[in-house]
Amino acid sequence: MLDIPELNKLICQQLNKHDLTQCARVNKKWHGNVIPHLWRDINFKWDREENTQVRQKKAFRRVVLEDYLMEQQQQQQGEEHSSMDQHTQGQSSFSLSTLKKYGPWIQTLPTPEHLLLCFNPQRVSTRSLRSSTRQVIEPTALELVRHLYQHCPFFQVPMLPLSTIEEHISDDILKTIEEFVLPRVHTLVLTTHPHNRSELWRLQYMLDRCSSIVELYLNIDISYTEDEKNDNEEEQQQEEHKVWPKLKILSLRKCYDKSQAKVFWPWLWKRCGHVEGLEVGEIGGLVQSLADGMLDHMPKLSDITLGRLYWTHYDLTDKAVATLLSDSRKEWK
Amino acid sequence: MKVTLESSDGQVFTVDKEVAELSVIIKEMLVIEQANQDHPIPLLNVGAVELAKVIEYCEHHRNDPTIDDDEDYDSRKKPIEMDDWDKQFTIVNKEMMFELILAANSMQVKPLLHLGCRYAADIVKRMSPTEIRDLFQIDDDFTPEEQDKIEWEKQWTKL
Repeated sequence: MLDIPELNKLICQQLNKHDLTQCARVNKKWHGNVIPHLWRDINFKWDREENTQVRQKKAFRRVVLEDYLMEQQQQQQGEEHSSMDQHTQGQSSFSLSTLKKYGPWIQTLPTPEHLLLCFNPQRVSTRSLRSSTRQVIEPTALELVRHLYQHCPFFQVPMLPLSTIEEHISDDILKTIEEFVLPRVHTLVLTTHPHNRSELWRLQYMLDRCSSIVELYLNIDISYTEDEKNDNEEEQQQEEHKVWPKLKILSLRKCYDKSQAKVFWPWLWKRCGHVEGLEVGEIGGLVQSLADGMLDHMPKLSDITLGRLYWTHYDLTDKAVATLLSDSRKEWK
Repeated sequence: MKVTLESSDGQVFTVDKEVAELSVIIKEMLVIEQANQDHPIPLLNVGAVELAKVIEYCEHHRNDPTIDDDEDYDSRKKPIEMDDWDKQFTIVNKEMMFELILAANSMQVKPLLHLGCRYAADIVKRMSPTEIRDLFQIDDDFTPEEQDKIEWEKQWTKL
């Protein structure tokens, strides 16, 4: 290995995880050079052989599980005699827990869904643990996912498909996604069907968490009809006027709103101050709202696609197209 | 147009400007010192042997399209292309190749740098830690406990 970090990076990019592991075991210097690359991307696709993948996932779960249990143990000990600890725990970085050491290097992780599958409790797992941390109640998959997220301050989420209408998304899982994942998402494909005002609030909260969002693809069906709008709400909305700082592309694939007030959409348009590209699929009943939104809140809009998105062709009436385009100020491409 | 380059040990090489410009550093220097090209460009970190080799490489690749973005070299996206000439070119001992990597780095000859790094990566591929230690004559400074711990931490990468 060379002493120049950029060159090490170039070399490490050429190596697979297995080769990197071998290099990490050469000596301390090589270990230090290789570790950031070894832990950079965590996914389980680099080998097509299925058995290997299963084994790797189990092994990864063991690493996270042990780390979790070790931290629990340390916390308990810490409460008992906190001052002693600082002397007895060695100065060497090798005594730190695995994720404390390597978590900050992690840049990509599997999707929350895959992590949950990967971390599902397994029958034999605790037996193969190293330390005296056996004989304890195993944490749930979600607790392990949260533990992992807490130790990865720099991971990125280039793309997240998220559907809240699927059954296996519990409220706790959603909370975890909101807390750790949404603020890092660059591209979000969101499918959701709010059935009442509080579910709509939840949706707004979720979208507000997406502070680094660049591209937003929406399939939203607001399916309740009763109108619970009150004056308070309107005031609140005027107070907070956040704009997504990085959002460049907004795509409304299939969006419907049966509610009378249709409060969600103006709320959405107000956040689109930096949007440059707009894609419109099916937006029954929202055409006028969108046309107003484009005019009032999307000054940077320069590229509009109507009707056809990728391989799907959506029906937009001529009248709808006319409304959307006539209200706009610029010459559209 | 010709450009003259001077190695760290004082040897002077004359090459075509477009050949020398494969080095980002030289290209930038030529822009700055447009008027003053009478004296050779000094390359303080590059010896004559390595410089001759770098020039040989640049001569062969003078007409290649330039790739500016380092990310394009990321092998996970796109493997680095090596033609027969490159393969022939890289048949040198590893000390020479590491010197070449350093030279390519200090002159910023990007394609050669990436070729060299690929070569370096190929050396350690599929080698055990012991083999690597023997090859590079380095000592194992891990305690058995530390080796143990590393083994444990890396289990999820095992093929």
